[in-house]
Amino acid sequence: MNHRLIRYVFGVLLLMEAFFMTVSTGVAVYYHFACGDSDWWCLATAAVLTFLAGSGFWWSGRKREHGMEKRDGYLIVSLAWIIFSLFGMVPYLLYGTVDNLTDAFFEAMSGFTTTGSTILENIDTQPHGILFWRSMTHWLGGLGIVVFSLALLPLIGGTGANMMFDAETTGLGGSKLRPKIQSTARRLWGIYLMLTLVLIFLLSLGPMSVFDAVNVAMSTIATGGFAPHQASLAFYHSAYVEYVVAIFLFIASLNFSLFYYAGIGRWKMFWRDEEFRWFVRIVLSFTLLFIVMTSAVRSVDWVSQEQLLALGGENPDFLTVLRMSFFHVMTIISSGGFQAEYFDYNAWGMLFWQPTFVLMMCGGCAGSTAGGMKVVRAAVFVKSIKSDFTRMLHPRQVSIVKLNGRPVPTSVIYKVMAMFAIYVILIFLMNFILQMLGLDIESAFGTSISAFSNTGPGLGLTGPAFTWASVPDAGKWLLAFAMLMGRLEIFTLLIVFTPLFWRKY
Amino acid sequence: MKIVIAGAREVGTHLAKLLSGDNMDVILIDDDPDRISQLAFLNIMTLLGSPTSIATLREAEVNKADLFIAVTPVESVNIHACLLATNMGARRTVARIDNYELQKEDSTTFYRRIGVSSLIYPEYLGGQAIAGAIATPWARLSVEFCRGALLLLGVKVRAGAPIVGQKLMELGREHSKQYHVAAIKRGENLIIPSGADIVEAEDIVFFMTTPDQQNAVRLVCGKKEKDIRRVVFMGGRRMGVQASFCLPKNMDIVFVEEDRQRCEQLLELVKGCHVIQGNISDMEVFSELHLTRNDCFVALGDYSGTNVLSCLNAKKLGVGKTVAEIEDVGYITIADNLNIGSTVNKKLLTAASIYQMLLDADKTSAKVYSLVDAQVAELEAQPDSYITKDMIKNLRIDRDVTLGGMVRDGVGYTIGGDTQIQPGDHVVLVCRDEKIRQAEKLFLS
Repeated sequence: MNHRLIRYVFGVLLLMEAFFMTVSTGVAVYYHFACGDSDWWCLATAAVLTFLAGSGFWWSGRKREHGMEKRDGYLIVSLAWIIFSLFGMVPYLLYGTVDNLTDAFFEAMSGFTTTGSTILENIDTQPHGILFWRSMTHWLGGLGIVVFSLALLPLIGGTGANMMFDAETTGLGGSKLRPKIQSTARRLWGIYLMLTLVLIFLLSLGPMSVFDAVNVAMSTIATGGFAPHQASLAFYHSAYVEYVVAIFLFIASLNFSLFYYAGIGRWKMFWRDEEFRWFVRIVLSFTLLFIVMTSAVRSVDWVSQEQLLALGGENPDFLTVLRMSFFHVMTIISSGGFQAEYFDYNAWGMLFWQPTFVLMMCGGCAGSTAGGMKVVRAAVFVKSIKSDFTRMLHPRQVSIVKLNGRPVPTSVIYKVMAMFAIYVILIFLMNFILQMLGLDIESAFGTSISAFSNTGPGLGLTGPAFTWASVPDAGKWLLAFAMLMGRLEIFTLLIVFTPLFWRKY
Repeated sequence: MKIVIAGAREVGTHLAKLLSGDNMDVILIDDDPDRISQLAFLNIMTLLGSPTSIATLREAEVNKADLFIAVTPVESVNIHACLLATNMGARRTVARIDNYELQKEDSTTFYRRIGVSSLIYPEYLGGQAIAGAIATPWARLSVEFCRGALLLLGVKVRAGAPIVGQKLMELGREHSKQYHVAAIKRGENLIIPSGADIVEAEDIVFFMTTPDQQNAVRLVCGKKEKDIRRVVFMGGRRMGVQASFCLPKNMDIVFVEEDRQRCEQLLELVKGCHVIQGNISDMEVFSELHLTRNDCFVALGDYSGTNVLSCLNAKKLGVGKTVAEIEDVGYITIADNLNIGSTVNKKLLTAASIYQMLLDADKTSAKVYSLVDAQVAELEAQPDSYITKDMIKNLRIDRDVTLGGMVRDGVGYTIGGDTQIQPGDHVVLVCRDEKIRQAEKLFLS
């Protein structure tokens, strides 16, 4: 293993984090003068600490040799997220936002992995700087820490950069836009920045303050879920905000390379992309399903008053039901996890839970900022099962799985199946552990799925109306880990824990 | 620079790897998903599809390509792809061919007219290299630069040679007009020498010289002129045939070939040659050849290992010069340490020749030849560049960069401390891999 190179990369990554902490410090200083916030020194101290640590790593790796093994790539990407969270939690601890290490680390990891589950019960009283840093963790993590740095800094070149890019980006691989990985990353970053700026503009047209607009925009494009208010988006009581956010969650769940191709005039790539078509179909049919289910549940006579209130209030018109259903589908499938006016699916009734968790596990498109298993895998999964059935009935018939008109190699199908299996196994395992820690089965199950899919709200105790503060400490550490596993699509992180990884061959 | 390469086999992959290092966008096209998937981690973009499909070429944005290189195994596919690429807007196209006839002057002009800018025949390049090695049998390496005006010679020096134990400074005082020691390979290490360095026995010394001064190099290395009168080719493939065309007419040529049909073809192709039907690893064949020190033994079999071993065997039997074809680039260093004379590698030669084309397209930078840890680059001095400011000895140049020779108005000169570079001069320099950018800056205005 190339230790010096690993240290050098960590150094550069931390220097980048220190830079963005300094930006947050700037915000805090502004609000110190504007409204007397007192958190700027926490962010400044954190920035200095991170800068020192980053320079230390960088200096100790300055005599690095070129050449990176595959395992270096996996290790760097896995550890980068943990190191980022370790430094990212410092402002929370210093300011006293949280009073213990567990909660601070959980909040930071939840931020970077764009899960957006919070343990904070007092968001509304937090100072601007801390809130801004919280949203910033989403924004840095959304595109992937390493991809983000590849775009901004001359981190490393050659095959090493390719390996790290591959280990961090989501989907089935092969999503290069340009021959050079740095220029690919730079273009993705450009798209990311552009979308964020457009959203900030659109949101600030509505009832939001500019500060809120910036925070919500960073959180939305990263499909995170942190909001500057405890009530999340419900705080604004605005259909405009909900529609704009839902539409941008949709955009952020698309493969970013599609925007690149659109940018160079190849608009047709959108509809030609099979994953995009699947995604649109899933979104539309589930929205319809929720509308139908809502009307059906509201019309039966055993519906409780509580359920009626949660499902759109006393006497909702069609538009309210449509808004509620569309926002729900988008916030869950994109793994955003924002909460709107009628958001508490926990109270909607058990009937609604099943489709919600299907959406959660499905996730957005490959190469987006969304979590979950990704639509492309779901597509390959369904198609390969279909071709299995064909083979059972007609053993001589040749059937292959095709995606975008090209056959999917068997190795990829295997990997999709393996991913699905490991995903389900891990969810059950996590569910079991959380139950042993004292959670009821509803909460444990919902929390596991939500953590592995990077969504945010769970079920029961961790449901949309509550925070995750009530989960025991051991559970929080495990869940932080689960979120990272979900963000790196399991294999990148899991392989570091195999004995094979640490043997020479 | 944007470069599209069609064909991800040996030459294509090797080129893609080499070219991807610099500020070039490389796109590699192949129709085999397995080959493509193995290249996933290179800093290039791969594209699955046929190089003769218009849709694929459009996807590769051939219209914006500065250079389109077709190196699939099939000649007609390469030419077809180049024709498509030219008509879609590629600035320059190169096709790999496997027919000697196409190299003739009239067919190259014809192909240039219809849209294939250059034709590359790796076996011909290999043949030329073999002929070059036979022409200077005492040198390990002999590479021409600036169209033959300058020569890079690599010579292994033994104890007792005049150069051994001499300080380069003293050597330079007397002979700076004749040659310039550009690099020394000592064991596994490559040294870019300064005046204070001393040549030791068993070093491989790289000289930059002009073709008419090679004898001075031979004398200082204590090498005797070897009179090669007969060349034995082990394996009768195309490279051997090409080499035999490049050799002087009075040379005896013997082919050892296993396949009866090919043996007869060889007799037809190469006038006046002798052909022995036999296997490269058959000792009977060796004894039948009666090798002497006036012979050159060229091993061009299918396997690098067999080639090296048969060369060692020929050396033992007292042959004057051996040349082995080594297909695996990684084994060249090991083969060099085995004292088997010269090595030939089609891939490196093809790549070097395509670099030469890049130089023609983009005057500012070119990597022409790779030694172990160093690059030999040919650069043109721009007006007002630092390098033209003063005499070399008064300029501050990194110690890992050495200027070997230059070409002014088509005539080659070696470079000493008193040389003054003028704008427009082509300079061949040797530098460590990582210093190439620094060296380039010296030449930019």
